[in-house]
Amino acid sequence: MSTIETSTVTGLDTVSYPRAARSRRWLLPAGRVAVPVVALLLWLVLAPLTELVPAPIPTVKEAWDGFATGWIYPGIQATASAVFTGFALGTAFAFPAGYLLGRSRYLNRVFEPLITGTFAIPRIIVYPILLTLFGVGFQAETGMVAISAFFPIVMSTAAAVRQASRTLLKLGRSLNASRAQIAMKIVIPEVAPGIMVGIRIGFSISFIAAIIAEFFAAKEGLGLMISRAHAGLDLPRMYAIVLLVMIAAFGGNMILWWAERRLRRS
Amino acid sequence: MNRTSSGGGTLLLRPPLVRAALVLAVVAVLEAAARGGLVEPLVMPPPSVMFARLVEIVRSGPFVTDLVVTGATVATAFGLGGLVGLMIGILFWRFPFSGAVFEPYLVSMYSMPTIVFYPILLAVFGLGTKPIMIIASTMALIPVALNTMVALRAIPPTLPKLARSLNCTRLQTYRKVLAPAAVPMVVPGLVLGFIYAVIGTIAMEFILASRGLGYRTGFFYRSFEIADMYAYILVISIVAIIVNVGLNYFERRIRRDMQ
Amino acid sequence: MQRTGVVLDRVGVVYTTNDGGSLEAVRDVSGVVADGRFVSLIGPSGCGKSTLLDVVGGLLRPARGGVVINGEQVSGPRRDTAMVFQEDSTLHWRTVVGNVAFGLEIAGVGRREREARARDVIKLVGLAGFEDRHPRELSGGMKQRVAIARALLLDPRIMLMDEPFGALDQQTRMFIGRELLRVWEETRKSVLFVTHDIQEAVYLSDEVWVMSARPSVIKSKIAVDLDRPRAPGTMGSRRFHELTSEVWELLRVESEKALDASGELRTTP
Ligand SMILES: Nc1ncnc2c1ncn2[C@@H]1O[C@H](COP(=O)(O)OP(=O)(O)OP(=O)(O)O)[C@@H](O)[C@H]1O
Ligand SMILES: [Mg+2]
Repeated sequence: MSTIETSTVTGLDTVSYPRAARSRRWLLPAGRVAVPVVALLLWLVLAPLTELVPAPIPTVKEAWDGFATGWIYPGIQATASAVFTGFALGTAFAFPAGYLLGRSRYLNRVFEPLITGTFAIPRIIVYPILLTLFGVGFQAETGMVAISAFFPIVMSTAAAVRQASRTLLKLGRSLNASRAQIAMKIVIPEVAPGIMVGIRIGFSISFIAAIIAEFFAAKEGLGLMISRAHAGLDLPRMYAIVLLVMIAAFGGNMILWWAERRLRRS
Repeated sequence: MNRTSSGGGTLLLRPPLVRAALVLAVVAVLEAAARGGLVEPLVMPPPSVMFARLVEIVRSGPFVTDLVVTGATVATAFGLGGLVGLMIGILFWRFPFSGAVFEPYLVSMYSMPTIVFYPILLAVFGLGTKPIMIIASTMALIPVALNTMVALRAIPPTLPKLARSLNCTRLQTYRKVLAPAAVPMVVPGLVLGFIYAVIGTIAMEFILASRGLGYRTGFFYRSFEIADMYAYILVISIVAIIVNVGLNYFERRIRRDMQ
Repeated sequence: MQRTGVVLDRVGVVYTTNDGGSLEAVRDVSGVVADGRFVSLIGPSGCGKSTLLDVVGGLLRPARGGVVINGEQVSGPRRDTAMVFQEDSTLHWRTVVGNVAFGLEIAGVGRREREARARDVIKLVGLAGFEDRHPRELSGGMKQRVAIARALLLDPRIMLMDEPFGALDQQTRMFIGRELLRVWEETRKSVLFVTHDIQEAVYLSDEVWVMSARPSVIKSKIAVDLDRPRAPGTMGSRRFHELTSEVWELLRVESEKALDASGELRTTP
């Protein structure tokens, strides 16, 4: 996920828009907005064909009720706190570890095979271990989120830091800069976009990890609410939560993506 | 100050040795903690017990069935996701505007809980591996599509020009010029796609299925057979590591051959 | 041993390559850059000029020999030396002022003071008006001037400059070379200056050291006995031509050796 991911996302900025699109700048945002609009229309048209999918209007109404009557707040609160705590915890370990791995060739040679080697292990299978350790609840879920966020952030950070320019590192040393100064004033600002890639993917994975963990075992949370609504055949409620989860995931991604592109531009 | 000529480094500090020592140390600490009563056997049995169970499990019939089910699901999920991903990647490259429009959505698909479509898929395809396979394939297609698009965009514009100047047919242009130029960057996407197919399949089995390696892990947790649960986690980890090593080897071979 | 200036004493550098082998970049280089002198290093590509500058700058410990500056053995980067690197070394996220002031910032000088001083040096290198631009808005040569300004602002006694004008066209090169001379004549720092350009080396320097192909030794040290301050007319003088052709002849032989060693001249029919 490290280098490939970075190059993938680097590519995002090298889009060569066709000439027509460049002269009519509104086309691209319009196109982007059209995607969910078309999806909504499709939903509207296709929903009546099956009983398994509720129509958009009752779904949106149910979501609205969720906020109006407040039934959704405990779920949002539980999932959000697990995602943010776990993500912060994972980042707090992953970021310094990734930095060290990126800076030290020796540490990299020791640990890199361990990290890439275990990359294909589905993290979710350690959830039962966390459950036996902490019991069902906030701690186990937060731990799951932290572990899920850890790996992509370590790998992307190490890959980004490894890209730091040798000349700038030389400059730092020739100015007698301390290790902390080299980190804070040279390397991190230089490779910030690459680091942001890891943060964004770490966030994405945190989010989905929390939902999946809640599907498996939880006391509270949106994932649990979805599976309960499913079991109780309360389709509008189920889809209302799904809709909210998707909007939240998309929103979080877009904020981080925007930050990443801003960093890249400067 | 950097040293220019190395002193060779002591043998004991060689990275592979240090790595092996670290892993062994962790296992030893866990073993000691479990045997010494620091960790209750209901929380974690000693690693030696896990390994013993692992060996028994691997020889048993249900394990082989689970492995086959999971393997088949992964393979089809990858086949489907890889194919669709390639097509999307090519499409987004051929029509850059569509690429620009859909990119943000494709990128955020990493965090989309596609699992929520399970009920629909269940109704359409019935119980079995198909719904899981489809969810896993949507995860696999993301990196394939993104990498393919980037790979194709990275082709230097002189290559298509060259093809045109040689009067290549459309098919020849694709087969003899564009595809070989893009392959070294498409392959990592496929590798990543495969890994995502593995992760997606096992994660879905874990929460939804009634067969497969992922399911079995959750099953043993629920039935409080903790040693077996750990053994299954180990098995999955080992299988995943083997798959990963194999893919890395394959990727390096391809990249070397392409140069 | 000499008390002032830079003394290179039988410096030899061996790199460890990635596959564990070793590569001898510099075999044996000795020489003295006396206080306030301008010395140019010239030699075929890959002969170890940048490597040698890294050694003098305290960034690289030589395998053999050593460097003494003002009587002290070099064991790491020093306050009284400043480096200008061959490659672009601007920090792309900082403005020109932020870049030029960077050295002083690391040295712990307060923001007000360092930025005020940076603005003066920026004028000196001819970048007035670009203070608040980012490197991406500058040309290659302007970026190199930012790096030179950053080094000048540290007010070092010794400047180590690695092809600072490499990215420039001939005219701009001459122009900035003259500007550099003007600054140097005011401040009289010792300069060790790497270049590929023979005319530039002769025009700027008190001494030109011609290096051999890798593993390098100094083939010859040519004293440049042209009057200072040098004027544009200097380049038309007979002595200037004699000196440049002398350097050229020495280099021609070495460059062929260097290329031959890398196999590029052995064309098969
Ligand atoms: N970090 C390094 N590791 C291994 N070898 C190196 C390293 N840096 C330089 N070399 C090798 O040492 C030799 C001298 O390199 P150096 O950069 O000093 O040459 P140079 O004279 O500055 O060349 P140029 O004029 O092209 O800048 C080259 O053969 C180069 O390949
Ligand atoms: Mg050089």
